[in-house]
Amino acid sequence: MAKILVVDDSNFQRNQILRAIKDDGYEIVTAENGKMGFDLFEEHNPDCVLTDLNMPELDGLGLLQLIREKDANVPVIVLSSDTQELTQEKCKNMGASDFMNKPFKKDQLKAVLEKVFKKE
Amino acid sequence: MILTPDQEDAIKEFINIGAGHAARALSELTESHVKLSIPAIKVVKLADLQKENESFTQEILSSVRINFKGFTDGTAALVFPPASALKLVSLVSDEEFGTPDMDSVQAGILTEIGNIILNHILGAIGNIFQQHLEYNVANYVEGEIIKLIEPDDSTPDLVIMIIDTQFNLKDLEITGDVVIFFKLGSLAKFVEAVENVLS
Repeated sequence: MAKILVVDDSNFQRNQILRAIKDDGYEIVTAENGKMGFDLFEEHNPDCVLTDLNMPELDGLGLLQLIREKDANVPVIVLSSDTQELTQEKCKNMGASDFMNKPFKKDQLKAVLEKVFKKE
Repeated sequence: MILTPDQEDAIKEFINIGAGHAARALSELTESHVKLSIPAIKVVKLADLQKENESFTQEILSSVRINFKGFTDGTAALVFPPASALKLVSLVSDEEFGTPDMDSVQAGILTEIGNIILNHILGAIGNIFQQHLEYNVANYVEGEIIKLIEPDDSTPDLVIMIIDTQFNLKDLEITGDVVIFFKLGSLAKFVEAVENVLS
């Protein structure tokens, strides 16, 4: 069973993500900031990370950087409200596999995850 | 600071683009059609803020705030009368809430709604000017409008741009205002960037 780490400081968004993919057979681990996210990344060794950008303690870019120092290949999908093209570019340059804007559509999230796991 | 008609028109258009994206996002969140009024823009000093908008005189407002910095620095906020905020939260979460007060769960949902809307507006500004803005984490603020302003910035000369927008969802008459507080000197930098785009 593929394991996904979901990192978002909004309980509402974490629930939205869980609701969207709960029936797709993934094992899901959640964290409410980048710091907690990285601790869980080390503990659970997930197959994919889905992260927000603006978070307390450690933001999504900080998390992405720490993950890339440990693992160059694990897919990291950024799911953010930030619609700036320069932000998307920055994420891609730092090694994000994909970038999605909030609010996301259920089908859109499912398709991105399917693409990620097909590549693997 | 007085804006020229061209500057005001351009800012209105930029905000309109952002507001349009925000309306689409809100429509996806609520799964309903969102009608957004054309923004009216006013630039006022802090000392005159409450005179400019009657809803800002209320003692309790439900607001979501994001500080931004980059080519211009300030705070963007989405300000709701509490009844409108609760209606919006109910619509998004698909739950009816019995009490007129906002609890932490509802405040969390409103924060995320505000985060998405404000990000779409600020994102459009960043994209139009091709300059990156950094944001802090969105937070929920309840109380008078003055609570949105950082204590360091709280001088009567602080310049504030008020963008009046009205959301209409499922005929629920949910109203809210987007307010941008520029740090001292930052509105001038913003207007300079507008001038660059115009020229």
